[in-house]
Amino acid sequence: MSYNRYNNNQNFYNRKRRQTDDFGNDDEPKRFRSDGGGQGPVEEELETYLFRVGELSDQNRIGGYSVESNIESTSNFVLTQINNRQADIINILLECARLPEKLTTYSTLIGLLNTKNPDFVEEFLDSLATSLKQFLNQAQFSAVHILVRFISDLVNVKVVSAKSILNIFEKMADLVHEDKSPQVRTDFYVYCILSSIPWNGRLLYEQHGPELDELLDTIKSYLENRSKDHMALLKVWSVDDPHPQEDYLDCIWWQIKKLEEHDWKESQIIRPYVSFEASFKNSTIHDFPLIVPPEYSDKILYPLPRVIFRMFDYTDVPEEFILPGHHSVERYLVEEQLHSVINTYYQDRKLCATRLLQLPITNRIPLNYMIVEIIFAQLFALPKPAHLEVFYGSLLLELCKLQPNYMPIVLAQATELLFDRLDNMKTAGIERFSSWFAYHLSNFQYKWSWEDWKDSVNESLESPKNKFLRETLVRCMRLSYHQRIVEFIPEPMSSLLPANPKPNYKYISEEAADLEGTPVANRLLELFKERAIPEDVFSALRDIPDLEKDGETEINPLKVEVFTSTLLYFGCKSFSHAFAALAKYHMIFKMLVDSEKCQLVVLEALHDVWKNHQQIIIVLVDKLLKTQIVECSSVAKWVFSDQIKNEFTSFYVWEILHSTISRMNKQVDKLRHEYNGLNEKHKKSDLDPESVQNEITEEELEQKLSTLNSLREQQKNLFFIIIERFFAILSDYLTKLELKIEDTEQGETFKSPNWFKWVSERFEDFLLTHNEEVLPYLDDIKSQFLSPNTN
Amino acid sequence: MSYFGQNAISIGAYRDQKFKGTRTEQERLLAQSTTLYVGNLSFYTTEEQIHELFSRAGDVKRIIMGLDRNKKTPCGFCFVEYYTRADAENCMRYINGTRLDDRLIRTDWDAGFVEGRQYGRGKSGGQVRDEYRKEFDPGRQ
Repeated sequence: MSYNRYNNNQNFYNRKRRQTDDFGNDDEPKRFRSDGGGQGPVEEELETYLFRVGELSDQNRIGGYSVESNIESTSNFVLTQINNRQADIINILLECARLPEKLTTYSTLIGLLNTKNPDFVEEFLDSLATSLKQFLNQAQFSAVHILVRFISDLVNVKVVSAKSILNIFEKMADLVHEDKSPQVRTDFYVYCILSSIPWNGRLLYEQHGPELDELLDTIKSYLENRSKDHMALLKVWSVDDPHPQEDYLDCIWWQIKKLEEHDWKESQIIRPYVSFEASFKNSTIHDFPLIVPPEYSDKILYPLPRVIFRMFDYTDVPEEFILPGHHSVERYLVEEQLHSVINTYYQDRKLCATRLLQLPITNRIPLNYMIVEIIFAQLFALPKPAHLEVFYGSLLLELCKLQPNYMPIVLAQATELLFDRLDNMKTAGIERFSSWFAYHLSNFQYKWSWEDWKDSVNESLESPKNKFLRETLVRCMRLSYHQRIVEFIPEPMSSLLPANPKPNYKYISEEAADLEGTPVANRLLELFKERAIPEDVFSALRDIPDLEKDGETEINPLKVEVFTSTLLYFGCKSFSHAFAALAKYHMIFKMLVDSEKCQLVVLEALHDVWKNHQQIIIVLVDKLLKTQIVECSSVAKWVFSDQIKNEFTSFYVWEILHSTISRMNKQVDKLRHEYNGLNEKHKKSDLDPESVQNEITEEELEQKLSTLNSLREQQKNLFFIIIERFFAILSDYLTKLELKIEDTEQGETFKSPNWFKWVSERFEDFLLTHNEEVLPYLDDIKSQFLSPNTN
Repeated sequence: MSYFGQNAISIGAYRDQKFKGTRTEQERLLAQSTTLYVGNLSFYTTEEQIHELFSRAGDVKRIIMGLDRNKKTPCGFCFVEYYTRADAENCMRYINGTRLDDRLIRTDWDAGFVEGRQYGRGKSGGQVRDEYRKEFDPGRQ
């Protein structure tokens, strides 16, 4: 059946959506149903009620109009179904236990089920424990995190004993005493504990005060002694003014401490079970099975540490709202819920936006501000955002659609605020902000109060604000066209405008008569127009003789340059034209470009023709790599070459470098995947000598491995080229700074601390983004590049 | 892992009447396609603009502009092909229903580009929908 892969993870929400097409037909897609449509009404009812419990939607009109009565009626209904469908119910509940924004609804439901059928709940808890253990063994940390919290909440409905939960917490906290455990591992478990305490802290305190204190003391001394080296790399803002950027564990620690100061009482979590306190009085309390964290293994990738991104405080919001302080547990709880919603619904931006705005909040919390802060926190997260940047952009558009009178205002305020503080923002953040802003404006006809920012026009070209504006306008142009930008930028700010992206072909310019290559260039243009075959073009190129050097013939770089510039000029009308031209005469490239030197000539010629059209340079470099006319290493060297020196801090140059590295990484990953696949098959055919079908020979395997290894050498080489050149260029600057040498010939750019900011942060970003690939070579890098007096 | 999000990437109701093959075959291709049809473009929207926006969902393999059968000029639609299904799905999730060149564009799964499908099938050479459109649309003249 063609939709099998969608059916595996199908849950209730997706099955019930009705598909409406352009012609207004309601086409119930029976083929989307995993069971082939054989479900009866009672089964569907059960699923509806379970997945939608607490939602009070039209499909769920069971038991009245309050959340509590809805849960109670659902519980009663489920109790009638247990005999027939126990396994199904447990499976559905296990799925529901991981719906983060409905945690207390489901714990209430379990609590009520427990009052009438404790045996069933015992079975459920066993399945829950098994499920948790599975997730732990599979290193599915976000699932572990949600489930630990869910189980923590079950103490509040008299289903699970506080002692058994404490035991689990203590086992997790014990890891801090293990020597071999890396910090990320202990960090994760400590975070699980601390982030569950807001739910059951009060009860733990009441019933096991001293044990809770001891647990917190253990955590406290761990936090005091753990390393914070990661902070510098992960902070988006480089200063702590106006908001300190805190390590995520430190932040939640202070939030828990504040909660303690308030007697473990908080007002953000909605607890439907409070109404049922009397019902739970005689409940059977179960001991949750002890869960022990699996042994340490260096193959497991734990979640990276985080720095909490802050941009708003209580002074930024209108008077009728109260934004909870950084260390209040309410701030944490709302943020946590917002992150959860995003991470659950990110594949459906409309549903995500709706759910975000439906978040149940108390105490006049300014939800729009918190939503915006969280979205930017995710967008700017280092090393990279959890989801695609375009997701966040489209999510903000949906939010503006749903709240056209409020959200755009908050977003505008946020934009101004971010721009204000741009001087202290990391390069990666500035780049993402710029890319987002252009995208956002393109959905609103580029309407913005540009004049507010006119002061930045007079700042130096390398100043963050000036560069941000110019780069944003380039992006806006890429999404529209040059004249459009000219129209909405006020005249006094026109120095910010990008160049008109026209080609620059020297062989028909005024200086053409003086150029050596002009005759051949003109001939080539004629040939291209006549759609000449490659052989004829190659013949025409012979008029530029090759060079003789020490008895060896070397291809004349001029030949390569004339051919490349002319071909690209000929195909300048659109991307498709350029691609077609490259494809048609690809073999000539293959014949001419036989050395790294020639590859660099190609890239330089490309840049010469298209220096005003950054987007096409990016696209064509990519094409040249794909068609193997140039190699990744050449592109890297070209990026650091003299031709690019004056544009070195332009964003498009880094787009090219990142895309080149990414291409190399993907190739290696793909080949590694293929090799592993072959290896697996080979092992299997070894074990089963009769299966001739998938026989992989030793030779095939060896060949694949050697291809893989040679590709990995290329990847290593690429990284080393980049790192070496970064060191060179940065040391050069620092040396000149130290010796107070003025770099007069190269212009203002190279003297400025701003230039250093862009370049050093690019280096940092490069290392951070590719830390996994670079890590194996760290020792080599250190010995080769670091001398005693570099930092 | 996310359970939600099948709606954004579900296959629409449009089926190419000129598809060469069975309905089953068409369904199969749609379910694994990495090509998207993009509709409601302005006639003046360029390949460059399309590339800029659609690259935000992933690596674009190629863009084929939809052309008036007679004039051979853009007539308001195109095909965008990605290298992977996942990238195409992200395009459906995040780019469908947003603006390009000030117009709300619509993306839909396509069974795959075949030579000839880049031409409008309307009587006058453009798209069929422009034959029936009642309001004046300045971007589609």
